[in-house]
Amino acid sequence: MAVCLLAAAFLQTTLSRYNPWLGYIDWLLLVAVYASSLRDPVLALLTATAAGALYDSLSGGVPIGVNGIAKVLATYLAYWVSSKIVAENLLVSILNVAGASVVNTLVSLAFYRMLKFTYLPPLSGGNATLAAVAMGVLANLTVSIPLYFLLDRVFKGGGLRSRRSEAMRMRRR
Amino acid sequence: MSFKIKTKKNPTVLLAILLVAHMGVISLNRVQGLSARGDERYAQVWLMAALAPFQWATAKTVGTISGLWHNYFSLRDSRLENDRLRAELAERGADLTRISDELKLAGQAQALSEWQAAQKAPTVAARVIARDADQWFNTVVIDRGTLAGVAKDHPVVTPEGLVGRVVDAAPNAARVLLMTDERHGAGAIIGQLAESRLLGVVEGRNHQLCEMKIVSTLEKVEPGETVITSGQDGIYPRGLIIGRVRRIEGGAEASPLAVEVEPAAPLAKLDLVAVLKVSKAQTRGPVDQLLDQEKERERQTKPARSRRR
Repeated sequence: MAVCLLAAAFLQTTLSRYNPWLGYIDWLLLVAVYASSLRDPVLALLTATAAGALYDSLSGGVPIGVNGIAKVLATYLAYWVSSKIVAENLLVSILNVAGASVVNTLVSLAFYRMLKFTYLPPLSGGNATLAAVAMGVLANLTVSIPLYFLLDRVFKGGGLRSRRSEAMRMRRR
Repeated sequence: MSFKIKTKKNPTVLLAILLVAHMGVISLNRVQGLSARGDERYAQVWLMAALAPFQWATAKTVGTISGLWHNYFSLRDSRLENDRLRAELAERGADLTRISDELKLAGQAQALSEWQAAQKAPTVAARVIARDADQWFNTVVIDRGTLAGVAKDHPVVTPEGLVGRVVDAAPNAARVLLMTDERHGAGAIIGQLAESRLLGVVEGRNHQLCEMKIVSTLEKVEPGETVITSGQDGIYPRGLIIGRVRRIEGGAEASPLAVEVEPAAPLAKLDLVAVLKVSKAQTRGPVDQLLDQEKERERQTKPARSRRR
């Protein structure tokens, strides 16, 4: 998971240089949401904390912790949804990514407003915030499908074991 | 029961602990004095240093591939030649501004020589290898750091004009705050250095344009006029081209409150930049000397006036 986070951090800072639209993709959030689908809350929340710390560290001027809170809350929401729905399919994954993306964007923007960033485009009023949230959801959803397919191949053993053990636990109950 | 099993059963406890910890870290960042020293940015600096080699390799690879495409398949040698000539033209334009200002300041020989010394400050060429992790903030990472002599507050320029200043420097990389970021400000002047009285501060607005707040409004501003650094902020040397006046806002042309400035440097497509290795003392020195000379002249003219009365 640490390697995934470092790769995500690399993509986060490198891709938007070549196309500003790629800046809407939150690679670190996607890795944290994937961790939540492995149904280990400790792993998910610690991955989200590390993702937030990396994000803030690679952003000039934002205090460390702001995006940590946003990502921890978003990942917790994704974990909560995953733990309630035992079925594992594309629809659950889409729901998780979309929900996490909305929470992450709104919480981070709320913090930026509190930190007195007045000229940020999504805080300029009108439908700017809505547009930023929608673009974030769209970008993250588009990337999450191939990314999660790839991550499933990497974490397949661990993920399946975790889901199998949870199913066994539920049956025992 | 161990803590891990407990938290697995009830993750809300871990969530609460993490949220409180994050709030604590944010509060530490906001403590007065601590943030002013910049001590808390060690994590940012070292992480930037760790990622820089990979980002440099990517930038180099992408640059090579796109360079091959453009140079050999698209426009062959003409593009390279065109780029070189355009860069040369921009350089000549900057030289022309500087030379004309130098001529106008010829009377103030001492200050001028100091200013020339500041202009001749050593420069470091650097490549932009990454952008800010958050798309809403305007910072970039360059592949030169303290090992190449780059330090905090060093101005960063392109042949076209000012880019911004260094805010963090690691041994092998540095973070540059672009002039379009709302946390950036630069002392500026509209028109010619020795002629204009249109002093102000150019501030970023987190989009492509900047805003200049005018201090003195006695002179008329026209769209298209050049905006250059005044040197009064103690960071940027005098005479660097910032951009051009695009629109005058909030009042009649004779008394503008704010002016929209279009940066001269291509900030959205930055690739190669130069870091000016000038210290604050070097930058501020000539300005202070000019002010001292101005005061001295005023002092000399005052007794003469009073004698005439």
